[in-house]
Amino acid sequence: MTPLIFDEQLIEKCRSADRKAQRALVAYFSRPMFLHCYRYLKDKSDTEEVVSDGFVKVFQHITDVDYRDKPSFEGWIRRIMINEALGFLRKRKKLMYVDEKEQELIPEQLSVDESLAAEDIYQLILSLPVKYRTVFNMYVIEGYTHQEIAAILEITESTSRSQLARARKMLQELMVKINERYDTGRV
Amino acid sequence: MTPEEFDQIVKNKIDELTYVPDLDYMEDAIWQKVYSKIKMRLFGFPFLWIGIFLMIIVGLVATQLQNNIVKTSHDPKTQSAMQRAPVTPSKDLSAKTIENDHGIRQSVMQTAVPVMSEVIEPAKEIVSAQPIITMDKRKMLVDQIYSDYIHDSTYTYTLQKDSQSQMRPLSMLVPDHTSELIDKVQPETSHQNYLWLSSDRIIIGNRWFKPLSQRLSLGYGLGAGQSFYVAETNTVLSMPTLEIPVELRYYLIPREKRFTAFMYTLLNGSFTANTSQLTVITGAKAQYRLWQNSRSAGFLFADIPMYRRQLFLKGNTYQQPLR
Repeated sequence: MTPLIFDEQLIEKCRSADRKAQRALVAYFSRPMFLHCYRYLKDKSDTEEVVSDGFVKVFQHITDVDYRDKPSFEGWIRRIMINEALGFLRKRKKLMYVDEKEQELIPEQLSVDESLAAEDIYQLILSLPVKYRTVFNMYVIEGYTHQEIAAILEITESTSRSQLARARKMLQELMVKINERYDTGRV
Repeated sequence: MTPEEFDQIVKNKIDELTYVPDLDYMEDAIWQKVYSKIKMRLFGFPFLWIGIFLMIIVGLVATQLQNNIVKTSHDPKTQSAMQRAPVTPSKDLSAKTIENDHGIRQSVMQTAVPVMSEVIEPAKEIVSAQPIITMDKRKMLVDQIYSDYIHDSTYTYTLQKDSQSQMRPLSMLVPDHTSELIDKVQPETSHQNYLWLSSDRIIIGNRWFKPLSQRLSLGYGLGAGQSFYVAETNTVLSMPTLEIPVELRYYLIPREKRFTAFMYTLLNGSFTANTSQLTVITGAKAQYRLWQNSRSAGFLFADIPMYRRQLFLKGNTYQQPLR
């Protein structure tokens, strides 16, 4: 198998709708994008659908984007994918939040066992309920602010904050549980 | 640990992740979807409507043909004209009795000679030019054959019992197993090795399916196997057969789903040593994907042909197909 090469020339070819170049771009970015979208959707078939829709949008707008470097280009693709995933969840009505007043959040005692594998943390995030998972992913992993999350998900900022706090708490509990399992050798 | 520190550690862990072993990921599947969606955006709109339009036309033509056959066979004028018409032996058939040398000669002669030499008397019950099986009768036969289909050896007898069915193939559910490979040169085209088992044919072959749009696919291929016929002497004959199918599919459920269904129009050229026939079949199929990995996929089909018409380009129709 030939190694995948990503450079500005590849983007140029994609701009002129070269099928081979488009395929190479999909091959290069589909795996990380699949992982990002799956973190929101938790369904393989839905994720394939969303990622493919995302790439179609990438090819539609690739002529509008100025290429600076690979990280910024990847970031652009990633934003498209995340927006597609959120749109998909909204369309399926999986993000029906009830507005909440900002609660007095009691600071939780949080801790992470840093020896936990990245895969384990990924799986633990997947086991969060979809509403917690979405806000947690957006705030912690993607770096959106509560204001942005509120605007995108059409909820209040306080709802976003309380969902995040609950997500953190639940994730902490799950981490403790998985550590206990490791300790007792059940995993 | 503050929430921010907690978040940072989790973020770093997720950012370093490039691969999840349990997550079966298929790059080819994503590319195929991307490609068909790009095509759909470029050409999809007209293709979709052309596909729907073609299906409607085929459906209307099929209905019209069906109605014409029913009208003609029940029309008293046609029947009386048939009675009055002098019947002369066909040169073509006479020639065949000499030419054919595969055990068919005898059956053709036995079938042809009495029919050709007999003067039809007016009072005698007329056998229609193209015998029609009524829906009830047809359904009954289909049910009976289907229930007897796999293991029961009496189904040949069931077919022969009703001699009027000789020109009309019967519909039934047929198991069709297909193993699919993604074409490496043209990734949008899938290549299938298929095994078709039905009451009148066993065919092994290759097919290629090219998506024309998100819902429409064009298939073409080549297959070889054995065809079975019931001769007038109640013996079953088999012949090597070459098949060239061309198929147009319209997916009612997207083709990527595990369970999907599609309408199809199949044009099948079938060639044996003695016959060349073109079969047009329009119907619906339900398809269930048994497995799929990066190398192959296996499907099981349930086939409901709604319209079937056979055109004999060469050869005789006195051999009765098993369905």
